[in-house]
Amino acid sequence: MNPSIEQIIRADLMRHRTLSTKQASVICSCLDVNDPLEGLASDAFGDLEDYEVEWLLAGLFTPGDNERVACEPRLPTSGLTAAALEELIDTINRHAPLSTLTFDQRKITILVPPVLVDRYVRLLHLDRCLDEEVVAKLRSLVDDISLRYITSLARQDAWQPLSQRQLLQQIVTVLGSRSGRIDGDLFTFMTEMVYSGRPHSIEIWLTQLRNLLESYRLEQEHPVYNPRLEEYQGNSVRSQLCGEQIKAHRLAMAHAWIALLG
Amino acid sequence: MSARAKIYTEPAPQWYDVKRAREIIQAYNTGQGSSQVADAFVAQSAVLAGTGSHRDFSYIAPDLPELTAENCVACMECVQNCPDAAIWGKVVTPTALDAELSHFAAEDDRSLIQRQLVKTTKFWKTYEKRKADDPTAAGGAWFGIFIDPTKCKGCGECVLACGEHNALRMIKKTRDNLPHYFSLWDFYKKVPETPSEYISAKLKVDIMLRDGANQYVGGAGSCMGCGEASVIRQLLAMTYEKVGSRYGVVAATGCNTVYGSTYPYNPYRAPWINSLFENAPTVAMGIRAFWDQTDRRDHALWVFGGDGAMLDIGFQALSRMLVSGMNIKVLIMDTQVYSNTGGQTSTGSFVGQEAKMSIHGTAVHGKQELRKEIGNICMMHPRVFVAQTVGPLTSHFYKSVEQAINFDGPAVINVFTTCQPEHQVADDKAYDQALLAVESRAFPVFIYNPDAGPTIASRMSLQGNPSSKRDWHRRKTRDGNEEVVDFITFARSEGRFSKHFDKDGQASVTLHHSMQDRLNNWRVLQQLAGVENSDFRAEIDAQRIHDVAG
Repeated sequence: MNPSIEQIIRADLMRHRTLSTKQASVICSCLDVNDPLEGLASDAFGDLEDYEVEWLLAGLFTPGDNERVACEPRLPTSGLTAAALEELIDTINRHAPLSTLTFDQRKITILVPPVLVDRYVRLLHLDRCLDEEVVAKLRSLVDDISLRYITSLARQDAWQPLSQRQLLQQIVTVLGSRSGRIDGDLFTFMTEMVYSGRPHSIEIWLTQLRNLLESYRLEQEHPVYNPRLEEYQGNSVRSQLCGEQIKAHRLAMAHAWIALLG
Repeated sequence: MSARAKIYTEPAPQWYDVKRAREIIQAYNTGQGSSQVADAFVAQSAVLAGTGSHRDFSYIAPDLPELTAENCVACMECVQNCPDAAIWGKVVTPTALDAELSHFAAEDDRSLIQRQLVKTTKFWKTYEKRKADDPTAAGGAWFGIFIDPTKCKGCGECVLACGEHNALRMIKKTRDNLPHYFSLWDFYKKVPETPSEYISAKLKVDIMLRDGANQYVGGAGSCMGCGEASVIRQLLAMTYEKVGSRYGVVAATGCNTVYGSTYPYNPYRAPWINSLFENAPTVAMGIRAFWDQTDRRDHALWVFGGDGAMLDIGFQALSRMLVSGMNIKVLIMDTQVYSNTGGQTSTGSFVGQEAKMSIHGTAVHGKQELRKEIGNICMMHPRVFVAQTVGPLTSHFYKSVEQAINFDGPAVINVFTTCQPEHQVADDKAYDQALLAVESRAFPVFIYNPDAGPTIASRMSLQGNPSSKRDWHRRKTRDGNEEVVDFITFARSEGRFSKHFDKDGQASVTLHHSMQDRLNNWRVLQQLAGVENSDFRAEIDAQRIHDVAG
């Protein structure tokens, strides 16, 4: 039997998590203890305000793409209604999900605080609506596995404004007419670009892609002010968040989209 | 003057030609700096306070951080850990937001701003709940994170600080997205300051919500991601919180004085003076004496220096000042190397570290002497407050600085700070490496407050170190395995130790020697703090059994 959305969420909330040293230190400072697990078991933790609990533990309970994709098969195209979303949050909290946190070879089981359940569920975008027509067209552009991933991305903020919803419709229509195929990587890249650039039309988006290529081309102006520093740092100069691998990926994606739509 | 930057103007002395200073800044901002006529103020080495705010780096940063507001919980970690004062949080009331949005005709412009704001538990739900109980209380307000594109160098440190919240990511700066950053920055500048009722006295991180917290305004010539600059920002924000503008800084020559006074840009808003490596604490003693005689006892006085200045060349001056009992606070930015002068070994360098004057070669494998522990030495001076901390452990850092300022006497804050070129790590690694230094016992944190109790143990706290009753901390790796986080783990992550690993990743004998040095130091701290180490206990018991059997 396929698990329900509630079961999927509960299972993820209840999996083991490991506190980082940073999180442990913040817990110790906040609760004035030497052992973070002792702090989480203390009455003082129970006395914290919601925002303090969130401050201490939200990082551990932040869903990502994988968690959103896991819900997608059980989610109607129109998403959950506001009432259904609230009911889902209440139901999960009523069943008091327990999660095991590990630190320093020791474990503690805590009730996942309702404030974290609330945030976790809302970040899954379960109440976001997809355009039926867009989904129908996407089916011919991607395989089944990619479709779940892509529809999950299509529920993100980038695609919520009307002009971006219309843009998505235009794009899938053009791709359909050209028998184009896309995958998860291409759609992720497009989602990120659309969020940053907020293009209203395919033409504007293509211009933004070309401008991205130009930005990388002009990067000859080196990011390291002093060449001697670069020499010392060797291969470690750039952050992995924007280094050569990311650049290569973005260039490949931009070229691929220009080829698909240009 | 750059209309795009947020400008901080401080009162200038009467003898200073402010008009001329503005001309010079304008010239430098437009690339005409070197053609300026010789200037009396350069000769006097006097630069107006806050002029760093005029500097516009928007042509430099190759990448910029982008916010996903829905993920943000207003923890402010990104704001604390930015070395360039380029990312700020603000609480915006619905009234203030409506007023500002009414100036925009286009829905597109309004939605750009709206999506930068989020209803957090901290600033919305908590306040709405309070208002439900008390209708006179402030209601919920929006929270947003804003990037100053004139100050951001694109290091990505803020993204690592945000961590698992996933509210920030780096994007490539383009001609399409840069205008959005300026629009949002304009909004940040225009909306009112965060109302004081939204600033929690409990959470020290909230001090960065005050406009006045920006005491180090960026525009400095430091490297991308500089670990020192973030620490200076945090420290001055807490200083401002405690004493307002009633403070000054004596800076010992080093990187901090070079990037902190790149003419005509001065990132400091308070009186700041550069002295030599060897005598900054001595200069501070003179200033303190003068201030105390001129009714400025309530002014805080900081001395800044690196490990070169404080552990080596100026060590005697530091020790002399500590013994004086004068109310002077010292910040040591411990990069374990002379960063500014080209990377020479200091007495703070780790065993095995490759640096100038201890190059790793066939005969000598990096630095051979044991590391000097300045924190331990300072503790043994009579009645000195000492804290050893790192910027990314924000609560610990602020607690250290606040207690140091409150302490009526000399105080030393020793901070591990990353120097990207000398440690050979990436631009955004200051945050991660500082945490790993704590985790691996390379640089344990502690607070020693002479007023906290009658014994050394009661005065000393190791709170903030993981697994404080063990030799080493253990953590789960991404694939679920357990790993011991020892000094070799730390060394493996930095280029300055790379020659100590063979092709199979095995560490050298020297590095094991270095690891033992770090363990010995950690055990000393545990003993001072009265913390029993179960691993050490087991080692002693095993040795005793062995000796009896032998």
